Amino acid sequence: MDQEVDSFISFMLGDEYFAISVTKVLNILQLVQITRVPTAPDYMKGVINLRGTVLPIIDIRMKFGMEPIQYQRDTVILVLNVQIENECVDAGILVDSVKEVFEINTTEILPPPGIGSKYKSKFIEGIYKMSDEKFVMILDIDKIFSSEEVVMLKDSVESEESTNAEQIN
Amino acid sequence: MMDNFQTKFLEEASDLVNQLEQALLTLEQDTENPALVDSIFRIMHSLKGGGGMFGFENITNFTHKLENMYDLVRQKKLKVSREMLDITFESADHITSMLNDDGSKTQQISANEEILNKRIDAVLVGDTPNNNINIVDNIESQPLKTESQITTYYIRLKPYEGIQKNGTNPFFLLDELAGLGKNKINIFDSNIPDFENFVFDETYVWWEIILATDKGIDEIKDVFIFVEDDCELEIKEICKADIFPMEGIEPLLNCRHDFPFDLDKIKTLVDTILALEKAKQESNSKNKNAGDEHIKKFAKESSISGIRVASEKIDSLMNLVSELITTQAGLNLFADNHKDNELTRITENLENISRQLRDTTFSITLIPIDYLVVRFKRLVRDLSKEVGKEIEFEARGAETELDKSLIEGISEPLMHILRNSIDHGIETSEERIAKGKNPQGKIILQAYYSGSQVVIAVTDDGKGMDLEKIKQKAIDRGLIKSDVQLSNKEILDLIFLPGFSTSDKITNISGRGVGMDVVKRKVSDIRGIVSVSTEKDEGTTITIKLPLTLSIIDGMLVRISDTDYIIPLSVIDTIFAVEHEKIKKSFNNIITIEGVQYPFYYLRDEFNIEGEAPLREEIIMVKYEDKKIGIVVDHITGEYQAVLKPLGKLYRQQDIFSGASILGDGTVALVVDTHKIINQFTKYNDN
Repeated sequence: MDQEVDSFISFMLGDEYFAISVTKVLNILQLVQITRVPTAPDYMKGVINLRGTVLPIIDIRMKFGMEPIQYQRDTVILVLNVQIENECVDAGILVDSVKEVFEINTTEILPPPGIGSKYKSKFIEGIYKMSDEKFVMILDIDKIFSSEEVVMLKDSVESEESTNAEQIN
Repeated sequence: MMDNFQTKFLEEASDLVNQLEQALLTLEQDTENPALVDSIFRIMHSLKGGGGMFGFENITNFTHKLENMYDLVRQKKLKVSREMLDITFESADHITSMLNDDGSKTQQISANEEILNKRIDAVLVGDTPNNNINIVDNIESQPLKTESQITTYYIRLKPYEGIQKNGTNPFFLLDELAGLGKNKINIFDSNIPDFENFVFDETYVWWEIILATDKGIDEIKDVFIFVEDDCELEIKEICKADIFPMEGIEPLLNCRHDFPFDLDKIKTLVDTILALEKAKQESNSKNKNAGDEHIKKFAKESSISGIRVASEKIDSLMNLVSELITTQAGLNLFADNHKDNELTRITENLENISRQLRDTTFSITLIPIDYLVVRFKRLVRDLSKEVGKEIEFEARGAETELDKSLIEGISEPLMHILRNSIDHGIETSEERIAKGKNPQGKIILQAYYSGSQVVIAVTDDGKGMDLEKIKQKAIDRGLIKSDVQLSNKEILDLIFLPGFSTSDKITNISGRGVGMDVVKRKVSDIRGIVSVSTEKDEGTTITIKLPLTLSIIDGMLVRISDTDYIIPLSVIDTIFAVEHEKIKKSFNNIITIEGVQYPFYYLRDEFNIEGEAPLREEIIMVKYEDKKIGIVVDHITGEYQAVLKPLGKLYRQQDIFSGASILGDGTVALVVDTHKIINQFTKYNDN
């Protein structure tokens, strides 16, 4: 077996942990003023100026069908390089906070859960169990960006329940 | 790895092939012309020499044979024949494929070469079927639009002080004049008083303009129609020719601040040159024919001095200029906030320079449409032969310049339109004769500026489109319901729908069907609009309208709530301030201003912007087709030079914004495409 080691960056959306391969992340930015683009879907927050280029900003929580993000002290923009229809595009996602960069053996990544689980496996590359027994969901960011609509990360049956659950949060 | 010199040669060689095609097309009209044979010979020679020097032996060997052939023509041992022209055209293609060969097609190329060589040999021994057919006969020589239709005028404009009190900005007059043709403007500002005596809305300067235009003197007078009483105006004709290209004229036209143009000197020089030209023309009049103009043009073009610059360098120059403009905006903002006279002065000077630098750099990236025309001529020639139709192709306004990237983007759609015309539009000679038309069909490509747009129209005199047939087809294909009532324009628009086809058989030339929707998409990729008009048995015109610039626009910075937007100045007609109450009380989005009713869009509502509207708002009247439509915003900040940045793939649905621009304070403003806004919201509200 290959002992391949990959690096991931973990962040929080609400009280859940997610991770993206560091090769996808270009930059972490402090929150700046975002110019809203009218007529765009709500999860597309607008654009910012990133050193002279125009960078689109996505509220990844809304894209996943969660509550819109509340800007807080820890809110940051992760600048990602994503592939959409064979084209590389830079885009920023808003996350509640960035946790850490960690290295893991690819063999330790568990396959995405099957049917009936809480999360839609299509957008998840795998799951990793951290030392503190917490689970991190490793996202397939290209797939998420390629789908135009809100992707409902959670399965449709559960999504009704989960919106209720989120209201409690 | 290919070294630098080789790359250079490849660039040069493809230029030469281009020139070769152009010369051949002219030679086809005028087979006896020794000057053209000479220039073809010269091109072959350059190709041969260059090929040898940079290690393209195959090109050297091949062109050597062609060169031999034209050498014989030069020595009058051989006459130009149809076969010879066909061979040379194919050779041009062959050379191109040799130049582009990456080693994968070598076999095919050498097979092709063998065939061509055999045919050349046959010509050399005089063994071709139609050796001596004079092909000039069947082409009616058509007088070309000569440059002599241009007249050069001298205009002196001395506004009386106080002209600006009537709301006239003399600069607009100058701009309008400049739009009529090539010009030089001389400015006299010695009357500007000291700062203490300076009244800001007085006009102290006056101008002299030399203008070469194909418009009449009346059109020039029209420019000044509203200011006749407010200025001293003198318009004189210098001569009935365009003086700008004349040799030795340039130093006389150089603007020398506060010294008038030396009209006498200019006149003397112009008269001498014209007299010389006339004498030359008379001596040539024996063999004067349609080719003459072509040759002159050809000779002129080859003598144009210029330098070859890699397009990446131009792109990076454009980027730097864009950065400069953005930085300039930052400096302007800073200077405004600091109220330091010295700083303001420097900033204004710098802004002036930036603006000029922007315009000059921008003009570098402009390429005349002529660049494409050669290719189109070739296409029409080859395709019409293939389908057995007689078609004449004419390009008007080929000197119209377009941005480099637009030229690249427009080439394919235009090819497609031409193919459609040849394949489906123009009838066969027999059909045309039966209809009482000229057996030879005609396709005209026309390009011209219209306001801030460039219009390119392709017109054929073919059979036109059958509206009933189009509608029926659309119904058959399930694109529309059979009971809908459509205007003629709406029916024509159906051809732009994906998967639409009007031709019963799909040919390998145009295979319409996949055609017009692709044309439409490609044109809208470069922010253009396609439209079509047709008349049964009269022909079809397809018109493409393109924006002049792609990257930097003059805009009006406006604000709604806490977001900035930019509206291109070119579409703005007037701006009024209105009470919010009046807008709230308006019925059906119609507002009456100064007795005129205007439809309007309230952007706060259309954009779903929350929050309280200000008591006074601004309504911007924008030009939309032949109407004026209002767009309501909170506040007008002022004019702004916007460097257009793409909004990116993720926002491609939001095409009511043509892009974004970064403001001096680092925030982003959205550039509004008012045309699309009006279109989209009209449709939206109709539904």
